[in-house]
Amino acid sequence: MDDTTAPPIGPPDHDNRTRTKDKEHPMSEDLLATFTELLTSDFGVPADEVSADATFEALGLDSLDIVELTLALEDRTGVKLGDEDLEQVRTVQDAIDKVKERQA
Amino acid sequence: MSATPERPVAIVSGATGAIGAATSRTLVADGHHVMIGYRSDADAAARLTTELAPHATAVALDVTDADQVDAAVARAQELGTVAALVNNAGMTGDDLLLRLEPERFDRTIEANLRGAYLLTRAALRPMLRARYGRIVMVSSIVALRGNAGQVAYAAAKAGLIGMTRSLAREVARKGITVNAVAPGFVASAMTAELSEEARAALVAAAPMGRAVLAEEVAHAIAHLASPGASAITGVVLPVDAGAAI
Repeated sequence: MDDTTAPPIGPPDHDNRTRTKDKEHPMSEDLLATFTELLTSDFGVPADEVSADATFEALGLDSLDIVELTLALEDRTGVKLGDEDLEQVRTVQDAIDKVKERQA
Repeated sequence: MSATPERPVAIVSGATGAIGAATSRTLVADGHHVMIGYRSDADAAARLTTELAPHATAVALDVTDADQVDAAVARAQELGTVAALVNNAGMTGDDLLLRLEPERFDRTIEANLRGAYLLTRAALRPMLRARYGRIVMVSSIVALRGNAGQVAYAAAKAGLIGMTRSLAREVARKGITVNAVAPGFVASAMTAELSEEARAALVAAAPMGRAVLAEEVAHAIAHLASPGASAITGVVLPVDAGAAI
């Protein structure tokens, strides 16, 4: 391959979203704020649409988006949700409850 | 040995084979740090890693072993951003269907198809986090045309094509592309196990009238693994001296 014409290798530079990898466990009341921040920054969901009762479907997330969300959540909180957890998650509150379960 | 920071990591399974080694060399030339995944030939992996130093790291990677797969991907993440995965590991399990024992059929499917599933499943997570990834499956011309005596191998390689197209649809919105190459007859240690008739038939089927070089397959893979191939997904690219015409 001609190095002079090859495009840059790797993820595009403009995708500079930062996902902190601190493993601190936020208090449960902070989890809604964490979800709101992730849904806003990574999935373009307007903050005023995010509530504990909102379903991910209503927020425009599909099953792959939810997997991606849990990976971001894992980076933020250190809590790893398994596939079996995700099967029961419909609303933001469901996800918060699962994280609390795993933190306990 | 650690990756040069600015180099994204490409994982290559079966990297000590003809196509795997050529692909590793090309990916390093294109600016990657390559994880040299090998099943049993540690010496060949070490030689290739030395040749490509400091831009390669050898890792034991039997794709039929889920724990080893997960450990290899974890190691790749330590080396840098996992930008590309080349599912190249494979083995033949050739015989006429009526003589093909179920156990051998299963082993062939496990190594060629289930192994790609396991490795892709593990590597997809960091790619999804980054919303960037290039996945390339090494299928085969026999998946497209069939080949007498290669029922299990052809079924596995055709399975890779179905996996490619389905996964391409799943992750298309996430900046991750999934493509396959379908090499024609490449002279290698693996194809040396084919019968003389089978090899002759594969060469005769190509309008160019020759075997394909591993380096030619490597360049196709490297293109599909490059950022510039950003609008190519779900494609099966024959690299076969014209055999698919």
